[in-house]
Amino acid sequence: MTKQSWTWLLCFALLSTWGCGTSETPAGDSPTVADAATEELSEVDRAAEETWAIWEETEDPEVKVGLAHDFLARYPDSDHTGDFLGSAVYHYTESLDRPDEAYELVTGTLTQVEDPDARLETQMQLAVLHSKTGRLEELSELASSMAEEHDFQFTDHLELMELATEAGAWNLVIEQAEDGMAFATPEAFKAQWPDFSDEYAARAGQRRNAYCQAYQGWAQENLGQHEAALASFASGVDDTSYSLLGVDETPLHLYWGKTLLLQGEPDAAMDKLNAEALFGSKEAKETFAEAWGAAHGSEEGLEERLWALRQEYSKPLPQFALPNYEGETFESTEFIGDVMLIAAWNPT
Amino acid sequence: MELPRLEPLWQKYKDQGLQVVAIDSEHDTERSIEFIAENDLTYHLLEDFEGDDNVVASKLEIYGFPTSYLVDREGRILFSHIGFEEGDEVQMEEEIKKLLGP
Repeated sequence: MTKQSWTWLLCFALLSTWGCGTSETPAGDSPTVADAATEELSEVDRAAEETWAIWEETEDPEVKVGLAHDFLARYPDSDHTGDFLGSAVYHYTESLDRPDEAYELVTGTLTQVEDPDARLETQMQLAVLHSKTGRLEELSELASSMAEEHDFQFTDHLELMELATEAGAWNLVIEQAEDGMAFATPEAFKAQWPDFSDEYAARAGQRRNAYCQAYQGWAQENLGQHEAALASFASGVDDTSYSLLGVDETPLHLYWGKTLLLQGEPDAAMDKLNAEALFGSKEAKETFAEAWGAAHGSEEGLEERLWALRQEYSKPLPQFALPNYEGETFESTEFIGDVMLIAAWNPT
Repeated sequence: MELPRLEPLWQKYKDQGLQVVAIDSEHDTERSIEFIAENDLTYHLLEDFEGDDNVVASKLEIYGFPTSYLVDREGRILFSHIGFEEGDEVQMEEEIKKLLGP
């Protein structure tokens, strides 16, 4: 598994939405495998590459966590620390249900890590574990000590917002959202990603605000601050971005819908969740179904409603032309009249 | 992994007008060809361009893998799947049947 697909896995594990820190920038702006190959690989990079190659060949989580242990025992303090720890933590908690062993690995590694980036990534994995095991006090304390030790970027605040939300540590969510809002400007985005255009930075700065308002609003609702929650969502809505299919790239509409449902407004909740329920996360679909049930007393008519919405919200497939492996060009318009399943994939 | 699970769907419904098109965005051609051969994939397999010409990111607005779109006979995207879990192919088959029609 490569770093990129691991990050994606993390997004799914935490959120099951597009609301993930990595969606801040378009795909393809990180160094590619080809770039790395042109440079002289260090011993640790070579070892990491070899370990990932074995990793990809097995489906057995036991073997995977073993590989991570072996690598981290040899090279605890490197650019690869966070990736191996993150992957091990994922499999320990999601596949093997042995968080105690994940704790041992993470805390043991932390005592040996001095590089600031590797330390931050290791601490973040500790935060993941606190979140997954519901250790709210430890999570809050860790967040404070991390903020003291490191110069946080927006994505660090965002990751902690997500973890605190998962754990239901609502005061911590609000704290992180408030800190995150300081980064919701084009200037702050440029400071972290100088290569992006001013236009992109302006949009990204706004989107950061939508992320913060989304998490803050949901935390406020959970703390019983119902009016404040609605005000947060409303102040983020003009800043958010939508995917090709109209799905909010931040969790703003999801949490807005969930909040309205809790507040006894199922019709208003569904209004916020239309595109999300059709093309977004499972959580959005479930919330929409729940709202339908609350409004109509049963799930009767839900499928018909979704089918009607699908016609309304569908988007034409953008035209494109791409080669196959024999060099022949395929045109997306070739199959109009047929049903097409288009799958975007990568081989790792 | 999603791709091998699409092969039986394609085999089952291609005569009724299903086309399966997989786009590879990794730019590791050798590896992809190996994967395709190992899994005996026979549907349409395309390789994306790099950088700004990347179709998956710039036109389909897909940033995570795997993601799939199901397009009806009029060329409209009616279903999407973000990520792929064991059993998702069952729901996909229902959706395909719905779009293929009677």
